[in-house]
Amino acid sequence: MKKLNVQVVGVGGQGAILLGQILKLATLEHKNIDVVGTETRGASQREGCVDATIRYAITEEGEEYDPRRGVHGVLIPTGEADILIAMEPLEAFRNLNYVSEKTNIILNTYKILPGTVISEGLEYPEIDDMVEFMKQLTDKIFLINANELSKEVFGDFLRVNVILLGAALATEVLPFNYEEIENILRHKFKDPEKNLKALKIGYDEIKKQIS
Amino acid sequence: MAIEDLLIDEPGRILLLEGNHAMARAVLEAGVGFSSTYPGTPASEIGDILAKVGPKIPNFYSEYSVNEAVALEGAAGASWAGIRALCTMKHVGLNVASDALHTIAQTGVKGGLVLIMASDAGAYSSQSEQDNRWFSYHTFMPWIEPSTLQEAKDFIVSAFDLSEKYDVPVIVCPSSRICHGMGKIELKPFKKIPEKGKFVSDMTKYANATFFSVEHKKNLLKRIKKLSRNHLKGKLQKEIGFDYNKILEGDSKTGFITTGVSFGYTLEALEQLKIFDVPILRLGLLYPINDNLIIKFIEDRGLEKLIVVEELMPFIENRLKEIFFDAGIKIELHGKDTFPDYHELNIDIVRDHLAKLLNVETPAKIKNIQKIAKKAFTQAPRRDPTWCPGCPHRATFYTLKKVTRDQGVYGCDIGCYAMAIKPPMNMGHWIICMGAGLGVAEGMAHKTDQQVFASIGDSTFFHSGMQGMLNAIYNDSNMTLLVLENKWTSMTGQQPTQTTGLDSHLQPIQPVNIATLAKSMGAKYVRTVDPYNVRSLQTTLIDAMSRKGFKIVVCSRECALQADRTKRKKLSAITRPLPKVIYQIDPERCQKCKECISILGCPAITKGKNEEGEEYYYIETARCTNCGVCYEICPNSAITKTEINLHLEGID
Ligand SMILES: Cc1ncc(C[n+]2csc(CCOP(=O)(O)OP(=O)(O)O)c2C)c(N)n1
Ligand code: SF4
Ligand code: SF4
Repeated sequence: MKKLNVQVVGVGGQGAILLGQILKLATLEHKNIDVVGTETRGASQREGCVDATIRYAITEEGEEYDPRRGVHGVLIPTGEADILIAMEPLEAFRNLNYVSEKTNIILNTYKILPGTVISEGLEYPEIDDMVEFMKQLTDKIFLINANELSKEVFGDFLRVNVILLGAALATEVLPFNYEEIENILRHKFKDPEKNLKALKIGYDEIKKQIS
Repeated sequence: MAIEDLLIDEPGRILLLEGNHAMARAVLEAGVGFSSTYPGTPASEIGDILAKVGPKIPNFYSEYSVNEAVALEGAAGASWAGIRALCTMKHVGLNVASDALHTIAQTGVKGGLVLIMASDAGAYSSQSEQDNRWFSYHTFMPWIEPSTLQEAKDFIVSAFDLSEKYDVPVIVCPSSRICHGMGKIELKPFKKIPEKGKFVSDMTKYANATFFSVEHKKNLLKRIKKLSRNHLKGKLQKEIGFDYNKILEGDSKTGFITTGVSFGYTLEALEQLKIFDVPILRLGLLYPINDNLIIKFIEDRGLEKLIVVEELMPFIENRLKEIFFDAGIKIELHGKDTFPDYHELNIDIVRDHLAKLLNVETPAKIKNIQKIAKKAFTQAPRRDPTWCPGCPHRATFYTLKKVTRDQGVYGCDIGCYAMAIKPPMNMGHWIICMGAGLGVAEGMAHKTDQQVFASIGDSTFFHSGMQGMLNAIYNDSNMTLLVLENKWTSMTGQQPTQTTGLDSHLQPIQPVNIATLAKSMGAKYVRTVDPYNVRSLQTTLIDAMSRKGFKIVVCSRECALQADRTKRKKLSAITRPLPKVIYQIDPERCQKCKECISILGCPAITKGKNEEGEEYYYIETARCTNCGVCYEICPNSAITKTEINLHLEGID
C-alpha cells in the first residue's frame, strides 16, 4: 500500500476548499484509493488562514487493505506532504512542517498582506528569501503567479484555485490523470469551459518549468 | 457534491461526504422523524443540512431551537410520542442542556432518542475544551465514540436501536476531526418514518416528582446493568448487528487500548515507528465499558505493558485502574503519565510520545523539519481572523471605543463580535459562555462607578441573554446593553435567528422585535440605531452614558457577508448595467493618519506603492461592501463616494 498526501494552504476566500474537494471527488472512480481529509471551517474563514488536506491510501492490484498501513488521521504528519499547494507565499512559509525532500511545492507568488502587516507594521518577508529558506527542505519548488494569469485571461481572481490544480497535476505525482480531473470539472461544477481553460493554463505553466 | 445527494436511496452506493453530512444521512437510515439543534461548531452543519433537505423527507420535522436545553426537551417530546428523535449540539451545548438531560435520562424513551454531541479537543471553535465523557457517569447514558466517518453514520443508526431496546437516550460523540473530515461513505437502506406517533400517559415513567425520582433512577440503573451484561455476553452485538469495539491482533507483549480518532493516530504513529506487531483494542462503547473484554484482552495475550491513547482526560485509563483493582491485575500501565491531557492529539504527537515509551527514536529527519518549520512559523507575520469588510460589528465597536475614550468596561460574549478582543479594538474584557457577557456586567455595575457595557449578538440574546436582561431591568443595573442585531447566527454559518424573519427552512415568518420585547419587560431606555450611521450611534451612546440605570441599544444592521451574498445572488440574474457606488481614497488628500486602515481596520483598505516608491492607501473595490463607515469617519475627508448610473434603478 502507498500513501500520498496533498496539503492546500491559503487565505479565506481563495477557494482552497473547492480545490480540496475536487482532489477528493476524483477518488470516487477508483475503488483502490481510500481518501481522508479535512477543510478549515469556522472563524478562520473570515480573512484568516485556511487549508484543505487530502490523504490517499492506494492499494496495488492483488494487495489486501491493511488498516495498519492506511490513512486515518485527517492531518498530514511532519514532512509527509507529497504536494504542497500554497495559494499564497506567506502561507507556504508558515506551513513548512508538511515539507521534506519529497515535497513538490506549487507556490502562487501573489501576496495577500495580512492585517497585522497593514495595521501593526509587522514585516512580510521577501518572496525570494522565503523560497531560499524553503530550499533547506526541498528543491522541488515551482513558482506561478496564478492571480495574474487568472486576471489576464478571465478578468478576475475566481479561477486561481483551478489554475493551481492544473499546476499540481503537472508534477505527475497525483494518482489521477489530466482527463479525469477535466471530467470532474465538466460534470460537477459550474462554468466548465472557463475551468478547463484555467486547468490547462496552470498545467502548461508548470510543464514549461519542468522541461 | 450536492446536498441532495444525501437523499439517494441506493444501498451500497459510495459517496464522498463530510462527517457532518454523513451523520445527517443517518436520519434517513434510522427512520428519524424529529430533529432539533442549536448551532455550534463543529456540529453546526448537521442541523444546517437537515434544515435544507428536511422538507424533502416525508414525515420529517427539523428545527433550529432557541438553545440546547429547549432542543433536547423538544426531542424528548417527540420520542415520548413514539417517534425517533435526534438532537445535535456542540460539547458546551450539553452544559446548557444538562439539567434536562439528567432527568430525561432516567425517564427513558419511547421512540429512540439519540444526541450527537461533537467534541472540540483543541477548542478550535469554542470558548473551552472539556471532556464530556464524564457526563455518562452521572446521567448513566450509553456513550459511543466513532473512529471513522463511516462509523459515525452507522453508530448513530445503531444507537436508535440501542436506545429503544434499553429505554435510555444514547450519546454519540464524534470529534471535530470526524465532523469536518471527509471520506468515502457507503449508503445503507432507508427506514420508514411513521407519519405520527401517540403519547400514552404513564405517571410512573414521565413524572419525576420526588416520590418517583429515586424509583426511576433505580430502574435506569437496572436497564444499564442489563445492557452491560448483554454487552459482556456478546448478546448486545447480535441485537444491533455489529460490535462497537474491535481488536487488531499482534504478538507483542505490549498492548494498546484506544478510542475515537486516537485509534487512527495510533495506527499511523506506529507505522512511522515501523511497529506492526502490537495488539490494539479499540473501544467504541465507552459507557458502560466492557470489563470482561478488557480483562480477556490482557490475559489471553499475556500482556505485560498496556498503553492507553485517548484525547483529553484519562477517562478510559481511570476506569481501567478500577477494573484492574477489582480483578487483581498488575500490569505496567501508561496513559496520561505520557500523553498530554489538553489539546487534541494527532499523528505527530502520538508518535513522539510513543517513541519515548517504546524506547525508539523519533527519526532525526522529522526533528530537523520540525526545527526549520518552527523557525519559519515564528517569522511569519500572524494572519488573524478579523471581521469581514463592512461588518456592522466593526462600526459598533469603533464608535463605542471612541465615545468612551476606551475607558469603559466592556463585557463581551460569543459570536463574530468576540473578535473585538483582538487588535485593533482590544475591547472584550471578558468572554465566558453564552449570555455571561451580560450577566457578569449586571453584577459588576452594582459595585463600580465605571461605565459598564455588555455586548451580545442576537442569536446569543435569545439563547441565554433574555433572562439576564430581565434581571438587569428588574434590578435596575446601571449599565448599557448593546444588542448586536445582525439578523443571523453568523459565527456558526448564518443560521436564521428570531430576528431574521425566516424560519428554519428560510420561509417567511413574523420576526421578534427586540426593542418591543425589552420595553414589555419594563426597560425604560430603549433605542434602536443603524451602526453604519456612525453619527447617530455616537449621539445615542453619549446620551445613554449620561443616564443612570439600565439602558439597551439595539444596533441593527444585517451581517455584511450574508447581505453581500444575497445581493450577489439577486444581481447575478440581471444582465443590464447597474448603478454603482464606489468609495475611494484620494491620495492628494489622504494624510496617512491611519484612522481607516489601523483604527477602524477594515480589511478592504490596504496599502500600495506608487511609481515613485511612495506608500499610499487605497480601497480594494472588489472587496468593499459599500458600508460607508470609512467615508464617515475619515478626519481629512479624503474618502470619496462616487455614484455611477444612478438614473438606472434596481440596487439598494
Ligand atoms: C452553549 C453554546 N452553544 C453554541 C455555541 C456556538 N456559538 C458560538 S457563537 C454563537 C452565536 C453567534 O450568533 P450571534 O450571537 O447572533 O452573533 P454573530 O456571530 O451573528 O455576530 C454560537 C451558536 C457556543 N459557543 N456555546
Ligand atoms: S460573518 Fe457577518 S457578522 Fe461575522 S464578521 Fe462577517 S460580516 Fe461580521
Ligand atoms: S466602505 Fe470603507 S469601511 Fe466599508 S467596506 Fe468599503 S472600505 Fe471598508
